[in-house]
Amino acid sequence: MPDNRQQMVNEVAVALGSVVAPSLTSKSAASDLFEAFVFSIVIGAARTEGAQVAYETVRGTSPSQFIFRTSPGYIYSTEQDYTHAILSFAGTPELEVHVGVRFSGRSRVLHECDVAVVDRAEAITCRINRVPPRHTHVWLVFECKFYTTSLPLGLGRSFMGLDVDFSQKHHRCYFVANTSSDSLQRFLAHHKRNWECGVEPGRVIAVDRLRNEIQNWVKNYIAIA
Amino acid sequence: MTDDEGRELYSELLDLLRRQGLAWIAEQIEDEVSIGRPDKKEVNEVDPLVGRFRGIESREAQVGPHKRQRKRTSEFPATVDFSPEERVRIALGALRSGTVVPLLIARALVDFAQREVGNSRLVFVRPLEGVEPEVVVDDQLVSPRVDASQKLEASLERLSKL
Repeated sequence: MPDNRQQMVNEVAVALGSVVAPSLTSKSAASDLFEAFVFSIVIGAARTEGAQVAYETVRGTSPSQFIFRTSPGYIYSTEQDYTHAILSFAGTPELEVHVGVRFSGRSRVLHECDVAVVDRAEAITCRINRVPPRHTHVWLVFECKFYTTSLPLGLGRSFMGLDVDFSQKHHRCYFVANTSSDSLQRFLAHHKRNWECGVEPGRVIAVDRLRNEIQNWVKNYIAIA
Repeated sequence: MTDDEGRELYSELLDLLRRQGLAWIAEQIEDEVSIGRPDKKEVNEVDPLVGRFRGIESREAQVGPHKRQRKRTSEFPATVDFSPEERVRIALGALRSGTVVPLLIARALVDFAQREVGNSRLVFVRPLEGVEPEVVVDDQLVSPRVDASQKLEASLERLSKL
């Protein structure tokens, strides 16, 4: 290897040493962060459309910090003091935004949902009775994928299964990823699914497009609720 | 960059990732490289009647003297191997996505948390009682690394221009 290239590789190695924090750059940590990032985009979009935003723990208290799940759990789980957001729009039923909860689909099978917008009344009912939310009360579902390379097509196929078992009028299921793939995008577009790829801080077009999609849904929710 | 240089650099980058405890990024790179680049290919279709390529002169002798059919070609989806240079680009892109991007996201989340609940600390924990948080993100962890990541991005950029 020529000296200058070797030198550049060495520079990358040195820089990597100062950047890598195992707690942030493991595969699972990166996925957890990405889900929370999508949660923050949902909150921002709702606020732009006039939502009053509050936060609550699973025990109904006001959180002193954000606590999110690293793996999907139940909306009623009190093992940890998980945080969710409450969205209030004037004259409409309140909504909650959750990270990593399970809900039951049309088939009554339980699905894992990275980020979800749920009727607050349903969420409270579920917490009291220790049952998962029903798909008819889950308005938005976000399947979040963090990858370092092109997305495998299999992710699109499994997303289709989730979407089919969830979709109904006025409800939306989104595939959101930080990278992209021509095959996967073609597959999802061909089957008329909702997707946004290349979502990361600083990629204004992709982030804004996702935010606008959510805003548009909020506009319709306010109109029909 | 010659093909040999590309192969050498690709291998060096994967080794580097594994040495830094980032084997999962190396695995995703290898997965993508093994699948290849999606492409299209024009192919002669096999005649469904005789199971031979259309246009073969002996066809009439086999199926009788009816109308000669035109040779039919169709476009099929296919894949081609990535070149060594393309592999290097995939590796560099993945290295950035797996190291710099999580930090940028963490930075955005720390700011979000500070704004929303007045505490820049975020905790990620499994839904089990008594387990320790797997990920704790706060300004102290993120800020110095975000600064360092700019240097890493610059180094990756230089390497990509070789």
